[in-house]
Amino acid sequence: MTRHRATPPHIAAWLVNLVAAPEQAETILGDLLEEFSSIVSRSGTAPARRWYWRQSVRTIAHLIRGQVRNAPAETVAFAVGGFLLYVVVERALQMSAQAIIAHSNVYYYISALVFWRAIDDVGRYVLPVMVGWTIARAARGREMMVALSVGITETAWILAIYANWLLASSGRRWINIPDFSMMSIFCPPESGPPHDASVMNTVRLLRFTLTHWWIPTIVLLLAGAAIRRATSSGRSLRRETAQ
Amino acid sequence: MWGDFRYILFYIVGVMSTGDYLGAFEHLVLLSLLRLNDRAYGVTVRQEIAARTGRDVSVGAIYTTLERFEVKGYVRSRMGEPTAERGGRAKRFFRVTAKGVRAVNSTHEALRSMSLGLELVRSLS
Repeated sequence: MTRHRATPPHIAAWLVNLVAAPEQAETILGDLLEEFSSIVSRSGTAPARRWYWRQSVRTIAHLIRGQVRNAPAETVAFAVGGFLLYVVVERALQMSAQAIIAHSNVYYYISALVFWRAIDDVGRYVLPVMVGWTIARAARGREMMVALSVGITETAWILAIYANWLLASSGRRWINIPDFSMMSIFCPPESGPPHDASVMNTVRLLRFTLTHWWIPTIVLLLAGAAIRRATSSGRSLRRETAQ
Repeated sequence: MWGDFRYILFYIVGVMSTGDYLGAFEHLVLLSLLRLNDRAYGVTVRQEIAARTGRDVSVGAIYTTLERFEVKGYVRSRMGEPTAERGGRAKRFFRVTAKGVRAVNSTHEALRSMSLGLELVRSLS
């Protein structure tokens, strides 16, 4: 009779491998597998898999916290640097789109809707992956943490813009916090809040921004970093195998 | 014999110095390394802490702490041989350095002097 050897959850192991530094990942995964096997023989596969998932989630949280704690200045530098990079490439895309319209008769070939839809899609789906990949390349071994820190900086920026609008609606002085999203092409920051800044309206717009812009951006930033991590791990594994 | 002598020596040096103090979890990790001696790696450290304190700590917490200790010079690590039960992955063994022992002793000393004369603490425990 053939006995199937229990294996730990692949996704959990993949996530741990993604977050841990390359030199740490092998040891941590080895430790998890060793304890997983002993729990399988003691209590069965299902409790062992549950244990593995629980340990993986806690391990990922600790690793991210540890990476921040061990290098706080670098983390802030990456968060701000990554955010500025994102702003620069987004602005470059917006300016390129405006230059195309100013210097060529693009609407003759494609409709304005299709053109701006394409620009919006590039800004929304391609740029975050590129930025995630680039910052992950700069922060070897802490790829996911730095991508996450850029995402958190973006979140703070968005929330600051909306809080500013709300405060302006309650009679306080409006502070000009630039909106770097594609929306700023149509509503320049100098023109002030581009909507009726009532509480309900601001919350409705914030919800729209979070679901249509923020969540895809964070997910794609992390995806870019994950692609970089996976390709660099694969390359170093191939190098080790060749040696 | 040499091991005991070395720890006594480290203790004397540690008491004399006013080194860094450890946090509660850091303290547990270093003490478990001292207890486990040559057998200290992620799994055994986790099990030692769980068996003696009842705390279920994550592997990530242990490695994050140990990495910080290695940077500070409190521990040294070496890679073991890859084993089949670990899917061909090697164990990473840790050992406390003289500086690490001094940090444990400084912390013990600070705790001892802070709790000296606190009868209330003893009566509650």
